[in-house]
Amino acid sequence: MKFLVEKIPLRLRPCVYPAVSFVAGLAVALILNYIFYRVGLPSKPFIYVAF
Amino acid sequence: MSENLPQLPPGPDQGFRPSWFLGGVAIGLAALAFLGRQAGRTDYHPDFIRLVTAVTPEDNYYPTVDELCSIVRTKCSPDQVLVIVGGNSILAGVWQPAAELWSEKLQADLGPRYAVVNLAFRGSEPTDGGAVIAEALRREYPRQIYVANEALVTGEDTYGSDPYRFLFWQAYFSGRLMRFPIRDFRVREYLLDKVRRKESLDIVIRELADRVLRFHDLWNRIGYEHFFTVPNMYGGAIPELLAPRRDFPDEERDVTDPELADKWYPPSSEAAELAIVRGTCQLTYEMTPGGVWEMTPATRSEMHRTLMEAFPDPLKGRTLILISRSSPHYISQLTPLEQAHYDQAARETVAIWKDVGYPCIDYGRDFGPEDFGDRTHLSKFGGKKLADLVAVEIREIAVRRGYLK
Repeated sequence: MKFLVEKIPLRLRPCVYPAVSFVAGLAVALILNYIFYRVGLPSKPFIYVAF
Repeated sequence: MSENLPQLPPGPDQGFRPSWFLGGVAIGLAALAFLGRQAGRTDYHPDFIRLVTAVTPEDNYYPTVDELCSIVRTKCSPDQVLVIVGGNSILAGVWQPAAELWSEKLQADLGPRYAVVNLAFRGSEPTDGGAVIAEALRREYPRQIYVANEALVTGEDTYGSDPYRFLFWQAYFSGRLMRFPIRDFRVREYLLDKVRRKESLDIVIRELADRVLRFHDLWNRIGYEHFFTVPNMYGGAIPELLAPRRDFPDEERDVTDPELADKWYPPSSEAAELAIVRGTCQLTYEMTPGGVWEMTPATRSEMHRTLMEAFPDPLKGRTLILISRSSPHYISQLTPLEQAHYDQAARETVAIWKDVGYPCIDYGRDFGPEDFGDRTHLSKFGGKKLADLVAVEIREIAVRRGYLK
């Protein structure tokens, strides 16, 4: 990470960690949203499938 | 080794930022909820005719209330009388290709003053799917008629049947259903039953979370238009598993196609189907000491109770119930006495529905074996006859309720 930061212009470096943290938050939101969807699906097989 | 790595000066720009991270989570969830809300308000089922298997729970796709309401809004303008078809696979048109679906014939019979939307699911009850959508749209489309079918001598659950109850819960917890005290009581009774405490908690949490986060609408639209992520019978592995639902066409076959001759009343299932037809009345009727064949008092009172509770009173009069008789291919194999009992059960089932306040007819008595694809499902020929019968009833209901003024 630090190696990558070194490649960023000095004036932009203060934004790197907040930006990365924010994007990580967005990614977690997407994962959470999908998990909510998946766990909300009924676990019992549909009647015709069950037969 | 680490001593040779370039070091950043210590300062506030280094390290993980919890506040930025939590902000990202909050903004991300809000943005996804917005997208889900937009998805629910969009009809992304172009040229909808009926619910094909790929967009039903049979294939792990659970359409939402908003998704189905959007389909209705596309098909029905405010100046038309809305006719929503619910019920089971018979009204969904199993054995009828889309081009000759009975509800399309019904639309043609009724003309442009009516808009027919077929929301029937396979194996569902009259209080499932289409009933929920019609009730949710009662203010937007006050001139509406709901059509569903049921078997002889069968009661209803006021909150629908298990595989399709997800739609009822969505509508119930988002406040889109009418106040109906007895139904509210049954719902509380169901949710507070100790046996299903965990299931009830799951339902409440899921519905309240979905009401805020709208994940179901969002992932349904992604699954329909872009890629589907839930294991399903169409594809057990990637890439088939990921195929968007819109890629699966309506493949319902025409039972009258000569290629399917072996599936039309197959001899291998003859005995089993006849046993089902004979069993229709055996458990619900008894012979009195005077030699009269009568519906048991318990059956009659239970039917009466469940039909009273099935739909809110203001909606009963606009709910047309079709009692589905079995194919004459099987009825004709019963003894004359058994046939008389079957006719009596059909007549009395219609009478009970009517007595409770529903318009109700039975169909199939004057149909021929060619009008059915099997014991219960109609062929395209039977579908046309059914459409003609239903169109007459719908027009009568529309006139009676003042929909055409």
